Amino acid sequence: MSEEIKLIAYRCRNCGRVHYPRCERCLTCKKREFDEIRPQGKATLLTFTAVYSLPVGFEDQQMLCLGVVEFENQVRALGQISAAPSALKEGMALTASWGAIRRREGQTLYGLILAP
Amino acid sequence: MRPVAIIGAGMIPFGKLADQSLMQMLARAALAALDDAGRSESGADALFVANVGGGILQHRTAIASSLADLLALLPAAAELVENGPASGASAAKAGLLAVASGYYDSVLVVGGEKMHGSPTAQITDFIASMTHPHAEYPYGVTMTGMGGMYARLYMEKYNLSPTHLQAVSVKNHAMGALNPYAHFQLPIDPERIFDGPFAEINNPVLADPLRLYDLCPISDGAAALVLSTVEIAESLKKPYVLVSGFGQATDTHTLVQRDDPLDLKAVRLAARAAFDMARLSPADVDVAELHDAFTILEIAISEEVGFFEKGAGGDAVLDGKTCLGGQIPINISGGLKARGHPLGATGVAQLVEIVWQLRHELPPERQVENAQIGLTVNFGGFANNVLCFILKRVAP
Repeated sequence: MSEEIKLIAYRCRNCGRVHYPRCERCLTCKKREFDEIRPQGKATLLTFTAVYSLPVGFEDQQMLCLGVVEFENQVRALGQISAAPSALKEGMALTASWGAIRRREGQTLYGLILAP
Repeated sequence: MRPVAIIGAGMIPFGKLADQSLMQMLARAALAALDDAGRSESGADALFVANVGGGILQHRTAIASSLADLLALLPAAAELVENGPASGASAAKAGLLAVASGYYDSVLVVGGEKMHGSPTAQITDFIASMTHPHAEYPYGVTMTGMGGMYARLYMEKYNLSPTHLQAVSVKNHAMGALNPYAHFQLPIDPERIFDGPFAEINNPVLADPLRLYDLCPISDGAAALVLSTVEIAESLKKPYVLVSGFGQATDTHTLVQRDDPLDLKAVRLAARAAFDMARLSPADVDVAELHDAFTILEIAISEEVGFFEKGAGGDAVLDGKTCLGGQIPINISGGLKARGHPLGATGVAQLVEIVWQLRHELPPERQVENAQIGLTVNFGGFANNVLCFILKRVAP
């Protein structure tokens, strides 16, 4: 599962803090050396919302479900959720994949997609 | 640093101002503040303008230079300050430091935003452009969506109910109804909006669990201040306001990067710095304007500032502690919720409201009795850049 996900997080070589998105200096120890890591293991849903007033790029949608998950290796990330909000509960495990998330200025953007 | 006074305050009524351009709005607010300061002709040494969307929505850049010309302030110094929704307070900070440093004796601070005139999806996208360009923006998350995710976490952890959020909305709309400068001047009928058979239609979910009446509107508006030395303020022979404390702090761009996403650390640090500078504590504050872009934020900010314990802010609203006449009246202007939130104007408008409160100039139905100390919190992004001011009344 995690091999397909193109999201890259950054683990500080000095203190081990995991960063996503990337920072040029570690938020904890201020060092600059990082190892690139991919999200691994179960994705636990921390919080979520369903947005009904959408920006440009979602003209075909009435609603967009979004949530924050934490993987077992401490990578936390925002993703789109392919489910109705009524099917979701904080703390539940979601499966993660990588796919099209938006059309913007003629281009397709790809990102993290989550599902129960 | 020398002490700095606020000697002029002015604003235009917020709303959907289709007949006014951005520059007209800024100019009208500026002239009102200059007139209020008794500087209709003398103007100011420098001009700081707060605006976020002029370059994107109106295709206007370098508007501070343009406004200096429009107001005949030449050859006054002029700069644009852009700091997201905290631009207004940041412009005021620039003015504060400019006078405090001793370089300028008088400064005009103007904040304004014209948000109508573009399709709603485009305005929503413009506001969302302050989210992270890789980790947030492409997913379609809006600031409202961030508020929804924050509200869900907060409500779960502190057992906060929709009734608490509704109480903020009812209070702020009731106060907005008394404020001729507010975008919305209608009180909420809770039975019709929250409880009646049409509640789902009148108050739809927009960012679950937040509903329409939990969110600030899209507004046009402008507000302005004149800052000066204490010597100039004293020469006016009338009550004025002293900038007693100021603090600012930043936090991670994204919520996911924070150890505890519920912790609005930058609010707490900015407020602490302001209280330290003013040598005051939260119990000394008589009136506050807090950045209630969403109802949940008024509650959370009131706790981080130190008015209430963490988790107690919701009950404080229900108990009437934040109403006019309560322990600490909050957002007596109607707040962002009812007065509106034209991004660049908001931080300045908060300070204008506190100046009016401390000069005891408001009608009795919205004047905090004998107010001596006021506080503002204006924040950008999702609490990733926060400014706090503490103002003090001085009567000659």
